[in-house]
Amino acid sequence: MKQPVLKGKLSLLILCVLFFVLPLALNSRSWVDLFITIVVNMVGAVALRLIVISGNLSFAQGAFMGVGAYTAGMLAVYLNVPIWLSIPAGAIMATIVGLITGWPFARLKSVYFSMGTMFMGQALMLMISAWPLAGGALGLQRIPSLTSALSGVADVLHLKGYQACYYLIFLLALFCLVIMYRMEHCRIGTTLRALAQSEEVAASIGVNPTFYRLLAVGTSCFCMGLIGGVQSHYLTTISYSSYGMNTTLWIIMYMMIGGTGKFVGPLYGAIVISIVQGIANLLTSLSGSSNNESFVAFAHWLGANSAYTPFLTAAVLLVVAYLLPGGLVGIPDTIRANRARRAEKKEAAEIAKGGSK
Amino acid sequence: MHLLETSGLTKRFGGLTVMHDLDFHIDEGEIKGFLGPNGAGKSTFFNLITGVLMPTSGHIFYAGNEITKAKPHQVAKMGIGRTFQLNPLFGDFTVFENVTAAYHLRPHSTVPQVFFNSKVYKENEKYIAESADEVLEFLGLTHVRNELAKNLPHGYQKILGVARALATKPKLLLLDEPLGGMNPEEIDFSIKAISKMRDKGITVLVVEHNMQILDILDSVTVISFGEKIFEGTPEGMRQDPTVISTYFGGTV
Ligand SMILES: Nc1ncnc2c1ncn2[C@@H]1O[C@H](COP(=O)(O)OP(=O)(O)OP(=O)(O)O)[C@@H](O)[C@H]1O
Ligand SMILES: [Mg+2]
Repeated sequence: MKQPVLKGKLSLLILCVLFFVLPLALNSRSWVDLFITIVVNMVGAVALRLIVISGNLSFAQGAFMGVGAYTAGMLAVYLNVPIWLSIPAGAIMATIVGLITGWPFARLKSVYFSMGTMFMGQALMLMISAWPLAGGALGLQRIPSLTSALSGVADVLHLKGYQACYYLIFLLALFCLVIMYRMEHCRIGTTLRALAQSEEVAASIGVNPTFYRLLAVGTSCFCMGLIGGVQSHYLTTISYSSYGMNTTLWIIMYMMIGGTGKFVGPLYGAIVISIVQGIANLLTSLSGSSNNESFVAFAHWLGANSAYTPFLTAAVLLVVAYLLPGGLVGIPDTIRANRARRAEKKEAAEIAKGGSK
Repeated sequence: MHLLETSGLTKRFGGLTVMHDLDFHIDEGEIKGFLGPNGAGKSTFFNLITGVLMPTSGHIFYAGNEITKAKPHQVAKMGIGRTFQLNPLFGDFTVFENVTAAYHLRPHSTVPQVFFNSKVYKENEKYIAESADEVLEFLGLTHVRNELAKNLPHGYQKILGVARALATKPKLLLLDEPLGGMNPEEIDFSIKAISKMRDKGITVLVVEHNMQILDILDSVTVISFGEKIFEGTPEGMRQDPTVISTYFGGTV
């Protein structure tokens, strides 16, 4: 009983150390950019899974990130709100919008919840796209940059500007992940899972379904808003199109490719797919500063063929869809099941042989 | 004062009246039967009481409070526990987890207490683990404690439904066909367990088609097509001409 818990925690610890050390060791902007993308996607995938645990699939995760990003960005652009206020404000705004819009949908189940959130997410982004103050179709520009806000801290810690940014984003992401990890691994998680299995039964034991659904949605939106807010300051220019259905669908895929069975699943999914998607850009930009000829040649080749990286992503998706029903975290189970099936077959064959003698 | 009372309770689905003007009561400490032929409206009655369905008209009172419009989780909080005829379970939870999950109300830990792993929460969880094992022991489920609920044989699943309802520490327990699909041994065991609930201070209202249940009932209400056709003792029920002709089809 005890061991799996420890194993789960160990892999989390290793991931945490890697994500702390590597961006320092890999002393280049393109690497750190990749790590920022991964960390942002991790929060997205885990935050989505929190809603999935309660039995629903949200199609507005990208939009909630957008609410956080635009809130933080606009507060900073128009009201000169400092980042340590604008970022939390983005998280709070995303939570409020999530709760208000989630209220009518929290009572809906499965397909209707998905439909409701899908329409709502799309509606939010349409409004932002047409709002002149939000920059309209051009997006919101000249958001005060995280790099300059953190330049003092970066100097003191002897970090490069982009590294300081990474560590702030990493810390905020860690904060979100710890909250969601705790929620899943206490009675709140049990109650959410119970709700997913039978709302009827859950209500009969005194669980208020609306309250718990909104608790999951609210926490999820808070995390999306927080990470969206900090990212907007890092990017300094944001566009509504980055928070549309495509983003939402990718978040869903990170989660499913990693597997929803365990907390670490979406983390793995976000890592693998973000790397696959970003590898060509990364290598191309690294090749500029490398002396290794074959590496440069390889990177150039990859860069020239970067139009084909979607094929690589597609291949990963197909492998998971056909071979890994439980996603990446389901691999041990899949192997075990296959081994058991093979052993059974062997046994059956031996019995058949014995019978024919 | 009755523990539970309904007056003029009516439920219509479109043009179909499935419950008509039902006056009903159950007193504290009773084991009462709520019987009637298939489609009489028994499960509907449970759903009306527990807020799963809203009555078209009429009133429901529990311990002196009107609960006509209360939601299922509020009804549970007030002390009414229930099982379901089709017996849905938390299938991916073990038997033990099904029961511990059901300790949502008594004792209750608030969300912050749970989240921050407070002392209250830890003590509550410790109590819950012990108490859940007692419930499993009481209902003879200890040996399947760590099985997934969905893998249990049907009879055990039914008993697990009762265990879960007991874990909510109800004052009034509504059992919808608790003996359905059980083998004779399980039936004997369950009937004994239900009669022991009275000793624990639980009032029980039971819907059942198996007439063995009559042995432990204090009183009976019989309905047919949503209307009361008999109220009295189990003995009186067996001899009542209306009950015999509408429920037992003329023979006993
Ligand atoms: N949601 C619903 N919509 C329409 N009609 C319904 C609905 N639920 C129940 N009914 C009808 O109400 C009547 C009473 O159903 P109910 O399930 O309460 O009967 P019951 O007494 O529990 O029967 P059984 O002994 O078979 O369980 C039936 O005719 C049923 O078809
Ligand atoms: Mg019924």
